[in-house]
Amino acid sequence: MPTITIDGEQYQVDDDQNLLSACLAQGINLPYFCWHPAMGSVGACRQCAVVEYRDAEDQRGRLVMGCMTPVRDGGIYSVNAENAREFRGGIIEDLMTNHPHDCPVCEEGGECHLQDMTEMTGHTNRRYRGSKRTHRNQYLGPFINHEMNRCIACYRCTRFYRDYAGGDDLQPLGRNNQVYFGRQRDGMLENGFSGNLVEVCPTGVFTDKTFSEHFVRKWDLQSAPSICEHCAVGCNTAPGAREAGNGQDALLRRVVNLYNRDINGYFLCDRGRFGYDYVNSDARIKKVLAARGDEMIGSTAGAGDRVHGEVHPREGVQKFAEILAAVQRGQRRLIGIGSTRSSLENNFALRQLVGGGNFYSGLSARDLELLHLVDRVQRDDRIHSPSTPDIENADAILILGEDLDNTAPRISLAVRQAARNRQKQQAKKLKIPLWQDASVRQLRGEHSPVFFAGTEISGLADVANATLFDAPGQIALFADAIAQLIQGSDAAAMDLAADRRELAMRTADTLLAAKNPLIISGCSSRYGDLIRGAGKVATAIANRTATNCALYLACPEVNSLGLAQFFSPGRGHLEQLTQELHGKERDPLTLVVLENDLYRRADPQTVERILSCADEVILLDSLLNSTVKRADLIFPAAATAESQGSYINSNGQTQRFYAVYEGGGYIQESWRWLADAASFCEQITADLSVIAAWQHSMDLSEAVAAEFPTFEALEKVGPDEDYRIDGLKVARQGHRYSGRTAVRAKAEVAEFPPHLDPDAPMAFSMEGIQSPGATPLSANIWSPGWNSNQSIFKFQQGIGGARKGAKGPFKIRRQSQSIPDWTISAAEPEQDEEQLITLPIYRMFGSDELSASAAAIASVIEVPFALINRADAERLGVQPSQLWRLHTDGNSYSLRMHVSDTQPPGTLGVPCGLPGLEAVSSQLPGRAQLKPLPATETGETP
Amino acid sequence: MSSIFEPEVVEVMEHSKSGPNRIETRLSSKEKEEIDREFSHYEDKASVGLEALRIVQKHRGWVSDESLQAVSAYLNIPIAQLESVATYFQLIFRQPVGKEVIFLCKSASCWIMGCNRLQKKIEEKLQIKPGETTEDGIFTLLETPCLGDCDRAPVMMIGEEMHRNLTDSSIDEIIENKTLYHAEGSGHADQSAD
Amino acid sequence: MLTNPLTNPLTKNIRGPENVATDIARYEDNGGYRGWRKALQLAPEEIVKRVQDGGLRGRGGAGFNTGLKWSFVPRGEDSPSVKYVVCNADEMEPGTFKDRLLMERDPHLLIEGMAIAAYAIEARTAYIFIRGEYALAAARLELAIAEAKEAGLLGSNILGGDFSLEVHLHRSAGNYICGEETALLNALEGRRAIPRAKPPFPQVSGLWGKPTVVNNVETFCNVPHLIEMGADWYRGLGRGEDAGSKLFGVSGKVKNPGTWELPMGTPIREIIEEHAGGMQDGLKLKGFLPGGGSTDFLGPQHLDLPMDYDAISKAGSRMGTGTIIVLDDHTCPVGLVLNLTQFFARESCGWCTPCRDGLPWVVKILQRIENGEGLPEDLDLLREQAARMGPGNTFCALAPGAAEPIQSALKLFEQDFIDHITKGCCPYL
Ligand SMILES: Cc1cc2nc3c(=O)[nH]c(=O)nc-3n(C[C@H](O)[C@H](O)[C@H](O)COP(=O)(O)O)c2cc1C
Ligand code: SF4
Ligand code: FES
Repeated sequence: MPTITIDGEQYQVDDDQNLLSACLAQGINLPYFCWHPAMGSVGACRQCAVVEYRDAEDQRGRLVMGCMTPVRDGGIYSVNAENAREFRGGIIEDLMTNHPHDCPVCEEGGECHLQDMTEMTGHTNRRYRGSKRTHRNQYLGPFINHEMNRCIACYRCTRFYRDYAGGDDLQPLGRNNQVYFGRQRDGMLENGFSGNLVEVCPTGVFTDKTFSEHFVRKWDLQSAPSICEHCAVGCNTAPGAREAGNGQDALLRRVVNLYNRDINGYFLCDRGRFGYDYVNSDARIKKVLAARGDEMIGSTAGAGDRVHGEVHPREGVQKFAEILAAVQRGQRRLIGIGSTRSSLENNFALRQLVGGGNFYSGLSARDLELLHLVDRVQRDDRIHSPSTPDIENADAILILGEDLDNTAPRISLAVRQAARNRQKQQAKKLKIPLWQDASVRQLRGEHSPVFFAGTEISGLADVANATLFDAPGQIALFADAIAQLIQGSDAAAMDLAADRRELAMRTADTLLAAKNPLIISGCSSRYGDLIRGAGKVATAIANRTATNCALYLACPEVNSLGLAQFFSPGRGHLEQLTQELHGKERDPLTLVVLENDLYRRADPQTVERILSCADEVILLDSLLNSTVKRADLIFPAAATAESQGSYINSNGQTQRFYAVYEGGGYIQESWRWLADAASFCEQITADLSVIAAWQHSMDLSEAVAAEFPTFEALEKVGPDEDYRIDGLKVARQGHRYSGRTAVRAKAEVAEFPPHLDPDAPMAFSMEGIQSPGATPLSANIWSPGWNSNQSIFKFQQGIGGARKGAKGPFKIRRQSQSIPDWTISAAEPEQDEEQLITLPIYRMFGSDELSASAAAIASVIEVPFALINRADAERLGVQPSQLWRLHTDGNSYSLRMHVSDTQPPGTLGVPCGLPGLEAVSSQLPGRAQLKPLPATETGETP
Repeated sequence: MSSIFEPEVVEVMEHSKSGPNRIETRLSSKEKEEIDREFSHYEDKASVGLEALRIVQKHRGWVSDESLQAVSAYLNIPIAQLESVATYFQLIFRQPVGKEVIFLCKSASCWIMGCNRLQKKIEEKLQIKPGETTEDGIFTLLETPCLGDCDRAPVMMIGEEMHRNLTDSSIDEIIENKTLYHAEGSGHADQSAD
Repeated sequence: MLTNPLTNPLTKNIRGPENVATDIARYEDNGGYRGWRKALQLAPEEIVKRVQDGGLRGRGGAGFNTGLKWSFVPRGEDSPSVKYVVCNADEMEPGTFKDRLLMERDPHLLIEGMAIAAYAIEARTAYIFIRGEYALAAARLELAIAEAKEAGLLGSNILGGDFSLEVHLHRSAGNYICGEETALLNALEGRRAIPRAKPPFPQVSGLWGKPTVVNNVETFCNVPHLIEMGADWYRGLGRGEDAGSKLFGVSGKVKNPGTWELPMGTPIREIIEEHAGGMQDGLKLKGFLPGGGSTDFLGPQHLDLPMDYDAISKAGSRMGTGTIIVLDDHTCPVGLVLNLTQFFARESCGWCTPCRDGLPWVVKILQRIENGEGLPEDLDLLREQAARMGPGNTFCALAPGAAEPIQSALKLFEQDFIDHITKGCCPYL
């Protein structure tokens, strides 16, 4: 560790870094713009100037850019030297010559890095007397605003968008001080990580359009650590909420990244950033609803659809309690269906209420089996589930059947970084420090090997060295072949086409030769053998190299892996439930559905069969969905940002999220409704009394941990509600939070006490612990002088290190168990002239249930479509963009046809979960027939 | 009457991840041939982008959006990346120019020798400012950095042809000759136009 | 123009308005490609050493020892197999007109020099990066390359030996910054011509990340005779400290502006007064930029300095390209500095702050002063801006170059600036 002297003080600093990051890591405030902790240095802004002295004798020294200067053991530097300060002030003065000084109307104001740096350098007097150049702004889609006049040309936007995220439609245009950062023409930014521009841009050029619609200053946002609920990666977020004023409910205003070294680092995907808005959507359930006696009549209504009316919560809970009482008397059966998008706590609560034997996953047998397979594979000690930095370190990657950009976006971004490792090796050989970003990137040459085999690759096509497009069954066979080759089987003996064999051999050799090989697969193909195959490849590598092998298995939903832990393999799926319901002499039956739209889980007939067996359906959920139509009693469930609980991500990591604000109306956590119902029962059994006694979220967390040793970490991931620092709770509001009384003054002039939080050691107010880095519970990323998100380094152990005070990661505890020697055989349905095999494909916008209801995202979701292979299209006479009709068992859908060169022949790629296609999604992969639409229905205008 | 308070007309864009509608424009076989020839000179296709723009400009006078798209499609270089390069280099014209582009040297030696006066002269004679094209589409006036002929300043280049030791009268003569040439030439163009 | 091959090796084929050797036969008749044939008999390392010993310093402006530059290219088994030689023919510095002459009038000389350089660093591909406006030079070079290939002097298995070399001509599309060698490499790769961070230097990671040597046209043109006649002879060509001969030029209001090949170390007075014929009648020399628009002004008191790199440096300026711009006493120095700064501001690549945002500001201040609207404090602002653009403060050498005429004019012609401000107009109008 080099020792350096800065302004007379000695510091021990990390090797291989630049002076700027060394200074920041020591807590020395040195202004900068173009440097970014994840993107390194390019020396463009010249803001980070310091003086470097040759030796102790040297009194004058020379100006150097901190970000471009490697720390030298024994080096002597000054940040405070007069000329360095003057220079830095001058740079700001230069940068501001064209800046419009429009902070009062700028969304960035108050969390603007440019403001901070201007303050820090002490530039307070404008000497520039000239006119300012002005730019035209572009329309960049529904997510991002563009205000180029605020640009200081630090080049961070294009460096992130193009170099880091692989986007190719945002570029620097023009030259000299006319440089412009934009698209070739107006239009939506195409890259799925565009939202990070909002945080990467140090000023207000790129701002969050969804936030603009109802923005407030950062200091007026109330925030808490949360988990993105839109996929199973488990990115950490800091959602921000504020009351709308005039006594109206608080509104969730935006989501920003919350740094977590092991998962999301500095970046989120656009689904995660802009998906939050579903909580504010018109489809939000805020009241307790009960079905009225009359049935729905109307052309779109199905048989059994209910008409609902609002009831007082007391009435609703009373009804629920009566049912519970009947159950206790043995007059009724109670069956519960859990949810992969609800917390462990909620699922556990329902399980407790209905009893383990009556608790179901709400997943089809196939989907639940996939999760159990993931679990099974992850139990093998020869395999480890890689963190994001692990993924970024991989030097050879095999992706099996997972279109990461759409199924686990943040992981895709990590793979893109890994693809540069060969380049980084070369840089090391040439003694180019890795933080010298442009110099490293200028070294050409091949990407690190990334092999992709699957149905569709959306975002990573440009970094994949080899691609194999085929149906999952064939991909599984291919994976199996690789596993066998790694184990030393004879390639010649394999039943594989020559080119495929060659590719398998190349892949096997490359993976074996790699230092950090990584296999990626997951559930999205809905094909168990693919996961088995992935497991086999990884264990084969582990066997040969005698170290464990990284295997990332992507799960579908935020708590998929958590829910699966409640069931032993083969139990708890919908098919079993159907059997149960039909097999028995039945008592009156009540079905309690927790945050689950069953119509997305099985075909309409199956769901119908289940629902028709129930005498009552009680639904707890946040958004109106198809299941709502069949529910008799509906309770408004809190969304992630409104509640506390725990999720298990694809890696088996346990994470807790905290309520950012109190949901409006009668919204509360699902478990609270259950506890309320239990406590409303006049006579309660011991079992019910346990439920009725739950008061804090942590009571449940602890109960889960006690009952399921798998989840023992639940007690450790965060402190309970009694935890205090210096006798104080952690403040959710910044200490500059304004208008606490005024915001409600029109409705009520009395000072409102803050909402009480029974669950977390945090306060819904500005009173409490504020200091940066004191605890990872703080989501107000702020530090004196650092109002923007750049202040995150004050919360880190070293630049890019773990959060200060962070413990973990806490993985779920599982019995280790080697995977069996699975045989993988070709179980592909036979080719059929009449029918096509439908394969699931995914979209970042539309495949996820909740985010699809966020207004901005909803506006960009594609109309129902399918991908068809070019040859099939020709054979069937399908023209691009034509509407065709897809017939599955008893159902049909019209789809716009996209002709694709990579869609495997004989198959049709059907987007899972896309609005309008929810019902067919559960039947993918499957078979279907494609028929031309009768001319009258094409709806095509000439 | 237009007022600043009139609502802004916002063009509604298609929200599509599949990019803007592609305008079908093609490169001529001659252009393709010339571009193909460049491939062997460079390590990768992306490096040929700028060359390709030059080639297209040689044939078409300037680089239109359509040309940009055609090159983008032919070389498989993202259009924004091509635009980034095209807008960087001053000799790539992203706007139509006249048949004769006048590059008037404005650098130090020519300035000392009086290029500003000559510029006024040209501006008055042609009724255009730098960056503009005459109404008849013949001349475009551009200011250019040092043309490397400073010992014969002031100088200008028309197309690829140098004119040195310029004086008021030589400017008159050069421009008149060019005008005459195009006046004659345009008769032919009219006949052959289809 | 003198044409003695022993004293004027660079221009021996250029005789007044006549082109002596634009075709290969006449070039070879006049002794052409002898250096190349000789080089092929030598070990590459030996060539590098000879060039280094000869004391040839880069003629592109920075004056770095050419042989030393070549010696940084990795050699041997472990070194990358692909390397490049690139000729910087972007000549766009205001007041510079020497490379055009060499390329238009004696294209083979450049090709011969590049071939030797390529052989010396074991490169098999070379590029001539020529500015787009130089159409005639480009045409002649293209022809010359074809001729040399035809004659077996380029292409594969040159003169029947093992060495092969392809030379490509790349016509650029404008922008002064393309002359900065790393920006040039980006432009050659079809990218925006933004300079690159150094280190790594191009010799280690240059064109497409491969070891690359970039030299100026004139630098390459010195190589053939240096190799042919030897390092000692070459050093002897100079009159002062520096080795070899050089193209010197004079522009501005002198009687006989032009370019001449003269020994290094020729006194400035001799160049301006003898070769350029002195000032036009009725004008006095007020100052001059010794080596193009990005060098510091010198005054009449510096006329007796020899044109040597170190001598000019000591006087507070730079030899630059060796082409002198003369400022007479009837021309407004503020206007000249404004003109230069407008050029640099426009040619800034837009990457780093002091240059991108500082230069346009300077332009605005100078415009104000020139228009008689300047304020006394503007001069401090100018000095501050110039200092901010000093060497090392910006990403490349463009801005420091731009600062040189500004800062020196403020010293040498301060009274002129003050007069503009106090009189409220340009006194030269
Ligand atoms: C802004 C700028 C413009 C330059 N323009 C040229 C040029 O046009 N021609 C040239 O030979 N060198 C130019 N140079 C110098 C080159 O960067 C480089 O030093 C030179 O080509 C090296 O060749 P040499 O060692 O033979 O002089 C320029 C430098 C800068 C900073
Ligand atoms: S000094 Fe900076 S902005 Fe100017 S040309 Fe060089 S890198 Fe570009
Ligand atoms: S942060 Fe160092 S130059 Fe921009």
